[in-house]
Amino acid sequence: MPPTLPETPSAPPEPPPPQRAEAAEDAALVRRAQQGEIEAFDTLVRRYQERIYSVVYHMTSHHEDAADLAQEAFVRAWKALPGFKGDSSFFTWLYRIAANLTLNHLKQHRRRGHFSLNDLDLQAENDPDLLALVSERTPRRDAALRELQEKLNVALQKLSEPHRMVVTLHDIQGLRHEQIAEIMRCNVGTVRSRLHYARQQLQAWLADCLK
Amino acid sequence: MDPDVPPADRLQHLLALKHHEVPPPGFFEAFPERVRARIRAAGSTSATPWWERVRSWTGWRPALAGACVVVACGLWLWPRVQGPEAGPGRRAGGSGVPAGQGGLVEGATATAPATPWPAQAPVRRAEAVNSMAPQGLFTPGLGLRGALSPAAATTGVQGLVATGLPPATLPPTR
Repeated sequence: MPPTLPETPSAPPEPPPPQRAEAAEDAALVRRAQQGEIEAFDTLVRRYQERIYSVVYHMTSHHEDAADLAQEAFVRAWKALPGFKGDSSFFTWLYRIAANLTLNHLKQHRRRGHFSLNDLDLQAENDPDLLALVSERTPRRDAALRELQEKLNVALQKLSEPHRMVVTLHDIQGLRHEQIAEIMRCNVGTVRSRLHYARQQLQAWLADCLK
Repeated sequence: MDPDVPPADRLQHLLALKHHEVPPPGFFEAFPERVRARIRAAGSTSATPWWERVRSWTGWRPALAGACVVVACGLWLWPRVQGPEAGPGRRAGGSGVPAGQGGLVEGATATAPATPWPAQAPVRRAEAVNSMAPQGLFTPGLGLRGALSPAAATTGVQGLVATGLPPATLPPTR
């Protein structure tokens, strides 16, 4: 019997997109970093490392690749920082670098087609959604969770890269359509249509899990 | 699960599981230092080979990389395509004259040379050679009257020992 899902999601949300005050702080840090102050850039790294790692990881489903690409995204951002004019927010600009890097990586390694799944973190054990998923902690419950996670990742990997990127940025990371459009350099309508199509595909592929 | 919940919402529940996929403990504590190390490494290896820089530069722009390859091939092929017709002293067309038979230098008359040099009347190869040799040193059909001294290999024309000719007939050297 396939595992069922709880009624209300209460998994820890991804860090929210930066607010206006945070964007102003970013601008100040960027100016200092542009003058060569590596400590200021360090602060930006700490601020965005989880979000950048997360988007790369959900695109690749591979921890080592995600770690490497996330670090490379920051290195490229540091190199390109003198040319950053602030036309968009630092957050959007950094996301665009990470997204392009990831899409480029996926194109080059399309044939590899494997991914590794990380263990569920400790917080997951206290998550009411997951506790409700299987009433008692048993090897069977762990196996069910792992199976569910694996099915989800397989389905996500079946999506094309742009569709997966939209799902990752919107449904997992909580970005707005406008932000995604800016990151992916497309219009909002394209983002909406990709999201709609990707959800339809996922629902079809995960029909057993969604009953 | 409540059957009234629409499938889209159920999918949201399922995607929420992705939040639990986290890197190993301590990963984010070490992350900034790893980034710093890579920045330092990138700075110390700024003298990377030019092809590596081109590759990394064009890695993001496939169209640009293709254009560079086309331009490079064009530059390489251009002299080969243009050479046989435009160069002075080259034969035009496919009329073959066996080497060593003193044929005409056809490039001067068959096609206009693509050079700033003025067009000249056709000259036989032997005459052309004669006009290049110092007067009195060369007899047509016989070659040089003098023999090369052992020093000729190193001193060039000055090493010529003219037989039966005064040294004054040697061309002035620059």
